[in-house]
Amino acid sequence: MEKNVWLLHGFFLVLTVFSFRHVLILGDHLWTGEGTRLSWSMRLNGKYCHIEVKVKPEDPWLLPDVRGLTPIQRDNLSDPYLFLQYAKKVYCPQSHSLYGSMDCRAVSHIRSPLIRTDVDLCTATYKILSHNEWILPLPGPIDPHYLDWLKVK
Amino acid sequence: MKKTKRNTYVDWWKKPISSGSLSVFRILFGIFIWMDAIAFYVEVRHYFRSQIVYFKYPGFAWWPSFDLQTNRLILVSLGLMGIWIALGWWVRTSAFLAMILLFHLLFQDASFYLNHLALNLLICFLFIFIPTNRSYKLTFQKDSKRRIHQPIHRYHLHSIQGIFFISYFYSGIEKIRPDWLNGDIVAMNMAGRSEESQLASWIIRSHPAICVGGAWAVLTLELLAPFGILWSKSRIPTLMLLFLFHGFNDLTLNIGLFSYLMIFAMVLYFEPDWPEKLEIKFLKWYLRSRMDHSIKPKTPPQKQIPLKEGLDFYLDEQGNLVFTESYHLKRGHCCKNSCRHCPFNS
Repeated sequence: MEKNVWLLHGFFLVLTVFSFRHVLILGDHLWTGEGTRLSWSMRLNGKYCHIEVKVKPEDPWLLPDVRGLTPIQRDNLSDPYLFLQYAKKVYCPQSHSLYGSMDCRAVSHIRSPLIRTDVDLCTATYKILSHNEWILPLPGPIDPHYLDWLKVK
Repeated sequence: MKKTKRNTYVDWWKKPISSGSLSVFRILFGIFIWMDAIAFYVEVRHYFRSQIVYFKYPGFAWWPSFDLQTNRLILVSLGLMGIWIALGWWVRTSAFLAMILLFHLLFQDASFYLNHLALNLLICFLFIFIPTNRSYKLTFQKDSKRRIHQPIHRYHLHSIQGIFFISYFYSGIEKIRPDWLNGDIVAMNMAGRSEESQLASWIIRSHPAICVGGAWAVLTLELLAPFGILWSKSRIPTLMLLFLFHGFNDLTLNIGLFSYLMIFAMVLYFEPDWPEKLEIKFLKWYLRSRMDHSIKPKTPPQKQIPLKEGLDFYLDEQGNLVFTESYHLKRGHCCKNSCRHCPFNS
């Protein structure tokens, strides 16, 4: 019986620390999406991204092919972790290199790039417990006229 | 045996308490799982289909992904597990299976993620280890021992409460950021719901300041609610505020059934034996209402006191027995015989 009490303490300790990991990662976790899964991070924040891709650095930017994705997968491509998987699974087997551009607006923030455009996503990796250099850590500054824009919209 | 501080601490966690509130929560949680399964089943095409790409979590690339029909079947099974949990049948097994199904839904494709599903997963995990059907289990057996409320240990109840306390407090910490405090995130979410919710539409168009006030109020409530619930004097006001908060969220924000789960969880924050007390009150009321009021209870025969001539009555010239006013007052009511000295004439 006493063992159960201590096991419960251990469970809650792990849960408390694991759910708080995003605080230890550099950058705004709601912007980068790092450390937000299976934690109590806010899901109310929206992030709208304009995504473009190109196979070689000298190619023009093109809209990505999202025909094989479900609606929820398309909505979640603004998460860099999922976008990296998308690049690796859809483009990398054929083209062997892919460059992405994610121009995002996080709720009231002014539009700004979310990932570095000069990084080849086919060779990029994703670290779970620390910041990934190919993701830009902070969103743009807050737009003071966001509420007016929202009302008009 | 000498009682150490450690023993006292462990004893506090092991103290037997009523299983009433935890069992009521088990019923509501089972219903919630069933409701959730239906909600996802209705919109299943939005989440799953026989897609080309599946997004995986690190270390879980091997987890299988299924086609639309199999996922439909999984949601139906999840709903059934919810019913089983609510009825109190094979709860540990049902919770284990529900946990596996929820785990599958979350891990077959990483784009399908909601905090409340992770919360369900954790609760199902705890339901495997703690006894949740010691009260209010549907049974057809006549064995009276099975119908009696059996106690649980304090840590059984606190483990489930703890999950909700963490989720409230961490949600509060999450909101200490400029775009929440200036009301923009609230406004954005209300704008997203304004087509279907008149309340959200009214707020966003006429009174956007409510978004700022609401954002600060929510932050304060989420940070303080876990502590407000612990203190008996602030418990009821905190629960009332939480009820209003979740009700308002359901009306104005696009957050699915999450508000229902948080409202259902409120049954855990009262005294653990509240369902039994309510049950006793209801039984008393029921028995009283079924009592036959036409049968008057027998009153014991009153002791006869002999009347005294001169004090209680006298004989007039015709020889009639006339009661005095003093006698009438002693009797206390009018006999409607028009007595000569009746004090109740008026």
